[in-house]
Amino acid sequence: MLSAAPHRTAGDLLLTVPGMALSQHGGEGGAAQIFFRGFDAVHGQDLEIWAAGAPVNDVSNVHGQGYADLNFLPPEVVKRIRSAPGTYDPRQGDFSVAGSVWLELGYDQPGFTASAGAGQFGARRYFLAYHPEGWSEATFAAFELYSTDGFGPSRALRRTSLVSQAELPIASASLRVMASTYAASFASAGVLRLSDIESGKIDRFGSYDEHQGGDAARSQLVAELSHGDGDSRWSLAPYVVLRSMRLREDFTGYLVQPFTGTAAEVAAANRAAEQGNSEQQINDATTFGVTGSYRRALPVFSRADSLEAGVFGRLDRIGQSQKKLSIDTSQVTLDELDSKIIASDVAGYVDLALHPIHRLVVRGGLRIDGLAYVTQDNGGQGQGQRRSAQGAHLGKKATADYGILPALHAVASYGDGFRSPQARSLQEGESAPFTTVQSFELGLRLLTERVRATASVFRTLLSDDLAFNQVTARNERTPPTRRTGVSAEISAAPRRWFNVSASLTYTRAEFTNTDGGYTAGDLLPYAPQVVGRTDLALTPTLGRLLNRPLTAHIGIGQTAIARRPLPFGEMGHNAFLVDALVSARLKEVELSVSVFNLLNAAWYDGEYTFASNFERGSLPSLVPQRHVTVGAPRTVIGSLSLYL
Amino acid sequence: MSFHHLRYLALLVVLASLAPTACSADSGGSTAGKRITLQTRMTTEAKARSTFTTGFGWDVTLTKAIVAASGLYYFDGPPPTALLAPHKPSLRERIGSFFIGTAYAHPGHYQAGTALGQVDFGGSTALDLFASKPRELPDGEGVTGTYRSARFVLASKAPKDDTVAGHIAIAEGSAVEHDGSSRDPIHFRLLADYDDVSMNVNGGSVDGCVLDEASVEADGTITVEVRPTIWLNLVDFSKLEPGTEDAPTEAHDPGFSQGVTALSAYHFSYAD
Repeated sequence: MLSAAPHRTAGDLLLTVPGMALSQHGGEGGAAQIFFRGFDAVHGQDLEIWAAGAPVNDVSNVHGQGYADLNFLPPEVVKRIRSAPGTYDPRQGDFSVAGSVWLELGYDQPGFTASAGAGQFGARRYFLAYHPEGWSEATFAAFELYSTDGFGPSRALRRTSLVSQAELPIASASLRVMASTYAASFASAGVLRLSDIESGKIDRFGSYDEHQGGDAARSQLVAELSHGDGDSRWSLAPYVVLRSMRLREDFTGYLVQPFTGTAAEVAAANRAAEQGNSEQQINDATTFGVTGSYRRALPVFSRADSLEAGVFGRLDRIGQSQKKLSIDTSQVTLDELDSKIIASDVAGYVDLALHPIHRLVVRGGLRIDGLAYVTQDNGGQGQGQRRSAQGAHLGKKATADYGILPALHAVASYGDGFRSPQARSLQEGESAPFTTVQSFELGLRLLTERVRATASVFRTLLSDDLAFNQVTARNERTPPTRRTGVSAEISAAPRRWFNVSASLTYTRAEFTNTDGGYTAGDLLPYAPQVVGRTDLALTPTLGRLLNRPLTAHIGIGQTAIARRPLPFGEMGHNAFLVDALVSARLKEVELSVSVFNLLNAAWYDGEYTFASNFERGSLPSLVPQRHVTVGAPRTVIGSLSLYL
Repeated sequence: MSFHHLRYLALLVVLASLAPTACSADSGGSTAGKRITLQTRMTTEAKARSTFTTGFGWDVTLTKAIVAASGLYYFDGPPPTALLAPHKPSLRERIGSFFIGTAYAHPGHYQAGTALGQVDFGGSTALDLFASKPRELPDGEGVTGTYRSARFVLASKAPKDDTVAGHIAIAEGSAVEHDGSSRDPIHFRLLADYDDVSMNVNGGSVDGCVLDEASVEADGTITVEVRPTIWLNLVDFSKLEPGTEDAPTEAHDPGFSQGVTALSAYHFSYAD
């Protein structure tokens, strides 16, 4: 269902994963904020994301742990998204707190594709791809250039990306090589006070600080060598990823925030705040890594029994800084952080699949992760310090799958997982503390030729958590939490030209201990409790014209988000969005119209509660207030595509 | 799959779309804390209405006291006076200190902490401390929590109604030396402008005022008691001309400016 409704980026495709909702609060070019099964995964701290065999999550990114920017992929080249809620699979590692997703690339239009699009708010998009005939869809190259002025001030974006991949046989093995490079620069309007919008003090598409935005770049190289026959399969996939990111954001204006330090440090921080709290964050990282696995038949109860062993490793060299800038002059007013980090994560796992009795499959395994960090502070409060920390995590995973009927299975799963810490928060010699996760799930799965449906109840327990703190305006550690929910989804293809899918997820996320201003039983703020999504695609053949088949595509995607708890017992606004795509193709030529937010809903993309002061010299409101980022209005983009 | 089934499928899609809206009804539970409304009241300390003795040894009788303010804030950080409270040693510490005395470091700087409540008067507002009844001020907003300290914000300019004749604080009255050595009373009219007070406090904010510690869980009333006796505590009246009752001596006295900006001149309390 990935191509049913229109999507601006590969990140938007995650909306098709049941239970997932996105917010683009940092501007169209920034990584999306992800909500999944009651988790506010922020930019990826709770969702492990892989693309084409390389990890997307940044380790210890200065903007947020696990920062995952998927904008480097044009949506057309994402062929499949595999999602695994929970932590039940030994292949799942760091950041798989709420779950994991794997994006597989491919492009199946044979020959050349050239597409040009234009739309509202100065949107321009050029897409060029080729896929050699006779080769698998995994062999292709694609180029994208996209720019827009945005639907309001400080919302412009320009991005270019190239993604190429080839899959070819080498003797009895197969080699897949993927290479990509991407760059973007973008502006961001930032947050607005809800009361200012409602009172008409500021236009809902306005901005307090038009200097916000950033840039991003990513290059990635993956080579996967694999071999498989009837009884065994092995693979080895080294990868290298180079990433850079600069963000400038202003959440609090001229607010003088509480600051802990010496009297001189407090005075310096207060002086800087008088010039404004525009924060510049830079994160440059190089990642080297490898994944490998070997699976073979291991008949114990059945010939279908198997054993898989796998390894994983990545080493990240990270340079990061955070500086406070004057809102007016952009001069640096406070050096808050300047660090070099070396982070490594190596892991090994075993995964056993057994069929002890008829209709029952038991899968289970162990995964051990060893993580090490070296951090050197070259600026900020810790200037001159160099420190190291290490830790290990053992995760146990098990799933039982019982076939009640040939098409109906009952599934029960248990898994341990973890979230790694921010390297800069670790002290010398500290045994790297992990947020540990326990996940439980019970469900039914129906799988027929034309219908796939699941229904499940799940529970996730965290040893501690992170939540946006209204005082510091950033994520801070909280007491342990629990998420309990139900999820249902159905996908059907009643006709060759008709596909539909629908999902609905409800999650209650609450604290289980009392500490730090939180009380056991209180709801965890920000992540929506209810997320619904439907995708519908009609692709009929209308007839023949000029001796060519004339086909149409009508696609609709609906996203509904409800019950978003906010601090102080408040609830955020619900949102119901409809995107639509209509196209007609006469073999070599296709005309399409994409409409985002078809109903022109006035919605809020993100909602937060914290104190701010955007009026210099005024009597500031210091009590936490509702702030929002405004969602995009109806946007129409038309495209002409040639297939040669 | 037949069109009969398609109808069910269409119904399912519609239900999946509408279900989140239906689920938006309250299903119980809430996040920590809640927003509250804080009524605001200003009173004047009782002893300012009769003759009182200052730190410089003057018996003062006030006839008029007005201050212009623009807002109040309430915080969870303890006031500096709490930081200065004497340490109460445990039995073990007392036994230990019998042999080796204990030295105590500087108690630290006032940290306001988190703002829990505030009231904006909507501009410079003159507060007449000799009004016949407590002054009701605009309602403030706040959130639940433990309230411990407060900020009294002096107005950056005089109110439009000119009650304070272009100044932000006035105290009028007479003073005689407590030991009876002065011949005649000093009739004074002490004035403070924003420039005077901003020499003592940044932005006219008197920070770290005591708010009697209160666990605030519901709407209530914050009462700020203004203490003109503190305003005049450091005024050396011997430096003023005697003046007359009809023509008191006007002065921008630094002691008066210090008194107006003293955190002990404003005391806050909460009642539900």
